[in-house]
Amino acid sequence: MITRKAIAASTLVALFAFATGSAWAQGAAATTPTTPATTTPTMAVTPVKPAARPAATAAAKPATKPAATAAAATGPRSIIGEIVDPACWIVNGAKGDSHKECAVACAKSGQTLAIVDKKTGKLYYSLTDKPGEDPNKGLIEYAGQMVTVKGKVFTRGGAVGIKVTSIEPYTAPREE
Amino acid sequence: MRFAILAALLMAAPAWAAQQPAPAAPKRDMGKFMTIVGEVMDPACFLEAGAKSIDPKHYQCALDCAKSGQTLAIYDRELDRIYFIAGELPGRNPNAPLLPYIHKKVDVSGTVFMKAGVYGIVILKVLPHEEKAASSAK
Repeated sequence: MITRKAIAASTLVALFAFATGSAWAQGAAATTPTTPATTTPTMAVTPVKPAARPAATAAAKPATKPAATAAAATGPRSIIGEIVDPACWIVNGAKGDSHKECAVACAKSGQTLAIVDKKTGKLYYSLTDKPGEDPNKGLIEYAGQMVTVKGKVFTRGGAVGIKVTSIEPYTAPREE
Repeated sequence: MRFAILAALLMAAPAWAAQQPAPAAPKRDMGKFMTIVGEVMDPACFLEAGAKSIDPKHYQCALDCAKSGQTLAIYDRELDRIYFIAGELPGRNPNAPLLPYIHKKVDVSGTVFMKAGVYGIVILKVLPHEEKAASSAK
């Protein structure tokens, strides 16, 4: 038989469960990380070009013409980051050991590899020093792995490239 | 009594479950289909030497670089922006649709993606760019 006490107890349990769930959900929502602005595609907010171009040409034009493409060669630099296939990284965010096989296949078929800086998330495109050299030489072995890369950095047209002079596997320092 | 508590718990379970937030699915950039206008170039030489590397004198260098594994790119002078080529499938040469147009101005249609300030395009179609007359003759 269901007594009055039992009914009261069950109602209290139900209310408690409801309240707990509600509070937990609010807490979770408050701590949900937001996507950093840098990774959000901004093509939707770029201003539209004047009607001089065909309507189908949806490439955006900045309000003012950017400054001349001054090279920002910063000289020798050391970067700690992961070797990625930039095509899959830009399109899918694919990286890591699970994507190694795809990255190697892409690299062998003509996709230049790149390094994603661990600290800044910036993409450093591998550049060759001389025409005819393979830009993936020395990098392909480390596809999907963290490495320490040294080289000369160049910046133009919103992209950054690096002429790699040395590369070695990165091992995180031990925490004491 | 036990039955009542059990019943209460069963009643409470759906209410509690309904309050749980759905697991946040990672937002995937689906890209934007558009047509970009730019010059096909070798980004290795461009990043080092600038726009002067997009020149007939530099054609053989760009071709050699492309054939040795340097992925070509499209440079939009108006925007001062490089679009890297994103091959759609592993095993296919991403330079294939651009090789006939090295240092030529082209209209490239495809899906444009942007990540960490870097632009990439999955190419659907490449056509030689045709400059439109500034103003039609009166």
